[in-house]
Amino acid sequence: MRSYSEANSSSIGSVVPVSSVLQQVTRTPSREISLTEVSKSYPLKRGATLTALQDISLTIGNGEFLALLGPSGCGKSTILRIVAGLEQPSSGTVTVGDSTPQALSREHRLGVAFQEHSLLPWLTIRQNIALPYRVAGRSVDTAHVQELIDLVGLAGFEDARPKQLSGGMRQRASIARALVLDPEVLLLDEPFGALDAVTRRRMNRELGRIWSELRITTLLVTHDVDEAVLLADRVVVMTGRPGSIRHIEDVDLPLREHSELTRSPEFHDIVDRLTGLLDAPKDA
Amino acid sequence: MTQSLSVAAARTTGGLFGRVGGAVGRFLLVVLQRYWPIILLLIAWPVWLWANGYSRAVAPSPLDVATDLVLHPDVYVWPVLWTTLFAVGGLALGMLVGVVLGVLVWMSPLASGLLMPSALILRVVPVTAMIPILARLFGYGSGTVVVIVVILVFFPAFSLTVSGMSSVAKSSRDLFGVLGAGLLTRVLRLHLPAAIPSIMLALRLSAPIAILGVLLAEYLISGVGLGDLLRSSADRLQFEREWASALVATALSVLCFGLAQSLERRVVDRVT
Repeated sequence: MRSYSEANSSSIGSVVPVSSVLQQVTRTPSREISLTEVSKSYPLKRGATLTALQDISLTIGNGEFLALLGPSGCGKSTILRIVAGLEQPSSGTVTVGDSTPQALSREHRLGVAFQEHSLLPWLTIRQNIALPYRVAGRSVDTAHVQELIDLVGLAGFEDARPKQLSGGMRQRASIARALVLDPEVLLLDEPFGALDAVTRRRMNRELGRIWSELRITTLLVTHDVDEAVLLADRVVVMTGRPGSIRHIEDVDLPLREHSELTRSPEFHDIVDRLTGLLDAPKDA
Repeated sequence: MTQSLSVAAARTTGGLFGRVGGAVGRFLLVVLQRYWPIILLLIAWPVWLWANGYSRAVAPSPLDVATDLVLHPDVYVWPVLWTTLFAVGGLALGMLVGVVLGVLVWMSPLASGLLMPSALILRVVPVTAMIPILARLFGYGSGTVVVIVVILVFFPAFSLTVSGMSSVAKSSRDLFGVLGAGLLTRVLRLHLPAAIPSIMLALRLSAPIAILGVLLAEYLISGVGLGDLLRSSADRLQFEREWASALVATALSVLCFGLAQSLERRVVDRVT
């Protein structure tokens, strides 16, 4: 059994031009996501209910990168699952453009990556990335699949199986799969949550590079403050039980080289403030 | 291994014999470790005969059994082929029936309600008790042999298919949900491939059972195969032949299990 290391691919990944992929995307415009007074509660025993989300109103602009930041169990993943059409809100409405999440999902216009890479072990990396075509019943655009493989830095590993790759490389494949159908909305649920800190930083940097070329409407769910501030245009800080919006931070940092940005005082200002908001009790 | 042998040969021809001797020793040790019960049996068998003073009519010695096998291979070849053919055919058919029923039950609650009780009844009733009825329905021949094997074999395949299909991780199910996959796509591209390790487990468990089913059916109803050889040689008081048939049947069963096991390993490595 061959096993590939993370370091092999990162150098390849960072030099691939993405202009060809960009052309594909401009065909289909991104959409605005709008949540209006969304609540979600789950029935418990003896008529009691657990309120997971309360009165969430939020708009994610066309081509905006929005991060949902909060402690575990604050319902941030539930918001993502509602936008993905995997769950229905108990009250309130969710629209994507002029459509519902369910309709969008039926038309194969959503891209999603979870914390678990959920690559199918019986398929190669190339076949995994091409899977959305098969599910949608379309013929596979092999050239586009190859572009995405190059884009996420997996060139040379197309015919490997997921178990032969490192955790970071599996996550790259999972993100390539999310992008392959040129989705109008990209949903990322803790995509790097299972990675070590160093790999996570590197993946953040690469996701930032890929996203700045594609500019798809994106919802990222994370509990990592640095990751949220680094990647998002806006960061929504949530509090838990029931989940509600506590603060919305516009991240208006000048575009700079990643390593410089993370060392800048402005970056640390925001990170410190948001970390404080996460730590503080709800009514403080 | 071969490389190290040739290297040794190149250095000194004298050392070669030592190396080969060592290899043979290791091989014998492995055989002893794995198959000691068989070796013990082959030793205990004649000792038991001798200690009790049994004659050939009570129990033949290993030598008598081996002699009959070697001198009359033609007696055994056809029965072995028949039994193998029906076991493999019945196993394949039973696996297919089990997997198809499993997929249907997984896909539809209606199919589940209709099929589960009958499947359980077929599982619970001893197959020997069904043989007279089956023989009336399907005749005293090869058809019934296959039906009996299918009845014995389909249930593990059926239940393991259902549980394998249900064992898919939540994130994979979510992925297919977001991708807008229909029921058929989910079955064919996610749940059925995910059930392959369970289906291969069913194959491994059922392979010796298929041999058992064929032997039983041949013994009781049909006039061909190893099961029939077992019975007819007993009827004719050919004890060496009877014991040799039992030995051949055992070897066949072990072989089937071994083949199914290596197939399972290979397939599971490919899909996980």
